[in-house]
Amino acid sequence: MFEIESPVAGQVLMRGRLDAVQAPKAEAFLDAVKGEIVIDLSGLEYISSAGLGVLLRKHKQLSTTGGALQVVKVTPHIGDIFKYSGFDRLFKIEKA
Amino acid sequence: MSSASDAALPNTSELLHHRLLRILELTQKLALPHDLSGMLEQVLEAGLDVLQAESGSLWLYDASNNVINMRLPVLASPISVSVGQGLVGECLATNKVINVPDCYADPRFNSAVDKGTGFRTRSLLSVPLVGADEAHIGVLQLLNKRGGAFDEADERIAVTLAAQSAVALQRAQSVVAMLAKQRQDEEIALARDVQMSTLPEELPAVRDYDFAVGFVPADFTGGDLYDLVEIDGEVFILVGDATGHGIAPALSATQMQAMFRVAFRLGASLDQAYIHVNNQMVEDLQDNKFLTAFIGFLNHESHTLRYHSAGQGPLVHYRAAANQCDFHPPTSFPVGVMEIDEVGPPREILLNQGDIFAVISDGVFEYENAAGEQFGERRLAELIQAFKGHSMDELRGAIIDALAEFAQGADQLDDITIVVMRRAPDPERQDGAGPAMIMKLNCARNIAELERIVAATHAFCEEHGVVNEIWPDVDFAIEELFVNMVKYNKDTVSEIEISMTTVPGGVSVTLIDHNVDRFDPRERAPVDVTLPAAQRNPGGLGVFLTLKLVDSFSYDYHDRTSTITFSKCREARDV
Repeated sequence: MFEIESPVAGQVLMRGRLDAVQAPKAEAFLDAVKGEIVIDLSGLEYISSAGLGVLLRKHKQLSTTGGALQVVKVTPHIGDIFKYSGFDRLFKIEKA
Repeated sequence: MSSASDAALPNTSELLHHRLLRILELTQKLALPHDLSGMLEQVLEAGLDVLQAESGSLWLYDASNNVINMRLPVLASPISVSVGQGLVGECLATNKVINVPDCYADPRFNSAVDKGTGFRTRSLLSVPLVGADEAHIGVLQLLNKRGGAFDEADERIAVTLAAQSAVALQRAQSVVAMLAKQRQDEEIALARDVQMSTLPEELPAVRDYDFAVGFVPADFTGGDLYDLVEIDGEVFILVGDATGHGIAPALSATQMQAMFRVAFRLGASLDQAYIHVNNQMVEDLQDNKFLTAFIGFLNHESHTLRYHSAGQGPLVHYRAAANQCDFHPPTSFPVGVMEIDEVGPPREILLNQGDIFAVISDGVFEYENAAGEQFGERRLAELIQAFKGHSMDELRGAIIDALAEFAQGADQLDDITIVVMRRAPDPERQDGAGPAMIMKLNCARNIAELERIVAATHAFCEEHGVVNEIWPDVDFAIEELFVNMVKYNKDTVSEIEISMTTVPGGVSVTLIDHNVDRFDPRERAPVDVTLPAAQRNPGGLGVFLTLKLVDSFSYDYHDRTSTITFSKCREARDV
């Protein structure tokens, strides 16, 4: 199960499991969101490298216009994954 | 040629008297300790004298080559005849005296010897030398009786003389053979001592591992060896068997062991050492000789055993989780067969808690009992299962006891070498708890299968109480490895097999991918996680993180099949 939505402009919510099967859906959704965004990961249980790729792609898009991705309410497990992959050096990560 | 000195004696009874005395004298002489050639001379000399012959020859039968060799007179080019060939051959084959009064009138007579020596043979008496049990010993041939041809009386006296001589010669021959055997045995025992002195006296003491070795050499034969020693933080395991029996194989085995030790002490890799030692043995060994060898390293931190097995097999892996023995074949042909420039990757096996790995020489598997039946793999597997909860010393003893019981008195024909190791079982499971649980899943090569995989693994973990905190890491590792297999092997349609086994505090997972090229995920270039975003891409990140998240990881490639096994337990992550 994976859900992604943007209840208000500039904010995206992800819930469930962002794996290789769901990554294309997340990627298409984020491609369509314009401007700076904050992604709330409080409901994200699981992320694989395919999901990390989606976040990296969005961050690179934002970087071209001087922006940066921001993720908030990161659970400990997902936080570890970000740390091991060095993503905590790339964009702002705020733990839950 | 020898010739008799006495002239013909006039009186028949005097002659008989002289002959009998001479035979008695010979019997007496032959009873004294003599070297064989001295005895031969005595026999021929007595024959010439008693039978009043001008000349003669003595022939001995060589049973191993089935030929008859002329031993006297000693010629520059020795003469041999086959059994049945010529007068000598016929005499031996039939065990009958052959009396030829006129040689040149007999078609069986071979005049070639006369032509060579200038001697002219007129008459001839061939007497078989027959030992106990009608054994062929040889032939005494007497030529040219003084004053005529050999008669019936001569034949009878010749048979008496031959009977006395044959028994004495037979006894002397067996003494010579016994002494040769004794000398050879002493030399082999010495070689064996040298070989034994190179075997390790103490076994490595390594946390979590129990080792035992058993070495029962067959009497003065065989060329087994083993080595078990800690080198650079890993345990080096060598089990070898040189073909043949005796000194040469024992020395080859010792030479191989020494070369491996030196190679590893000098920092050679497993592959390099294997290639170079093999090529050196090709140079050193005779063409029809070779050695089998298991060459492995046990890493007691990662619990992986990686090895090459040159003709040494089957190798036994007892998997505690499944309570089952897997028999692995050798990875390659024996050492010393032919030169090699390169070698495939070593096999790698992950030892989980309670697993046993055994390298056992063919002297065990091929031990034949009195009924001609071999000990085989099944009996060994049953023993290992029965002794899984015991020390390896006890298992070793049980195997040797079982062999003795199985043999039913049949002799041990080959060396017995047993090297067994066990990773410590989970202390919580030593109370005889049943085997761990296993789940198996066959998956199509489609990423969409991930949902089914997650559903199945979670249900399994839930059912067997696998701690929740490790689930995401296990999911992550399975997904990354599965996706890699799907993505990188597009030419195959074989299903990917995933199995999950409970291990203490967590799970062990195996992914098996058939009909694929080799791809060890660990050989991917490491990901630099410090690069800025513009230089980062997601490629390789999955495997990189997987290796960080799991506790142990092994990759094996064999028969176009990739097997990856990892384990994950609740201990703190090592970052």
